[in-house]
Amino acid sequence: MSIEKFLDQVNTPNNHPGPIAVKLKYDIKKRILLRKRKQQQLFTIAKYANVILLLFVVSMIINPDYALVINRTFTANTDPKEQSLHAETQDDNLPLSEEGVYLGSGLSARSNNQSHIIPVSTGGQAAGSSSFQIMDLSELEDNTPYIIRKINDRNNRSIYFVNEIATLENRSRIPY
Amino acid sequence: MTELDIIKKAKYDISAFELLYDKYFLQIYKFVLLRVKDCDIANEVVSDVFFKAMNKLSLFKWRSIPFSSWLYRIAINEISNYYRRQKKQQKLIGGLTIEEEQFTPPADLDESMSFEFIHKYIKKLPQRDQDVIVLRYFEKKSFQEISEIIGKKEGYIRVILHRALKKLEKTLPKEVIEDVNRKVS
Repeated sequence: MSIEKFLDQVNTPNNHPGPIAVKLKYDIKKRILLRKRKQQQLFTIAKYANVILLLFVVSMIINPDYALVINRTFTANTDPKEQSLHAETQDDNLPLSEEGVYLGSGLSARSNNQSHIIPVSTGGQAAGSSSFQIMDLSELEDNTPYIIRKINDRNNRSIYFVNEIATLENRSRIPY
Repeated sequence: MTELDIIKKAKYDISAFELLYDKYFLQIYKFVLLRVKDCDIANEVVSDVFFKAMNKLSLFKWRSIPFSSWLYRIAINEISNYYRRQKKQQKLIGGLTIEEEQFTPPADLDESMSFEFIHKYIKKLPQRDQDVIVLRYFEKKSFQEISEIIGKKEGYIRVILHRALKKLEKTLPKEVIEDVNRKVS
């Protein structure tokens, strides 16, 4: 084929890159070294993270309290005393009853019995009055529906929150 | 030290890779330049070729193909990537129509026999055809070497080359073919 002969005889350019070859070589070397350094840095970070994680897991297995200590050292609330103080201030924010008795953990501290109950009315009838009051269990009416929630603290002291469910008369009916 | 030893060493030592670079740079550079016809682009592509070769050297297995063929294979892939990127960029620019080059007959034999002249027509062929033509006629590679580079059987390469030449003949202007026939005979 003539085209083959023609292509065989075509003069190819004999361009030598000259100094570019050396420059390219050093550019490539720089790129490779930079990449390797980045990989090494990442590997070091991963290595240390793994050691910490391993320590945490091992301490969890040996004794969970150690893990708790590690957790406290790495989290914001470090002091357990501070945490209990925080819980107390939360209790202080609960409203006082008519007798001036705290509805928080103080109430339960005095009596561990389930003698007092705090009903919270959600119905329209209690709109004007205070939403919290202390009442005896016997004061609960038989024909009124309530939602009772029991909350225990770590000393097994409990407090009950009673929500009175509004009666059908007060509830707005949806016409259909 | 044999090439195999150098390659083994270069897998973890960059200074050993320099020896391979020095040995094969010119070959690869010439091939890339013949395909892209621009020194700046050739520099960029060759840089990418050797960077990839260094990074993927651990994947190279001596038994399948020679190292030079492996480098050529990377170069072919990088050239394809370059043209793909260029196509995308042209699409992003949008609506740019490249005007067909007007045929101007070569003044003398030297001009029609120059690579610059024939490259305009080779450029119009598909990538694979361009690779085979450049490797066969300008790099003077054997069919076995081309088959190692492309990763296909020799028979397949012969078929591709035959078809590529037919296509090239069709793209060349009649005047040029007649002129070439006359001068070659």
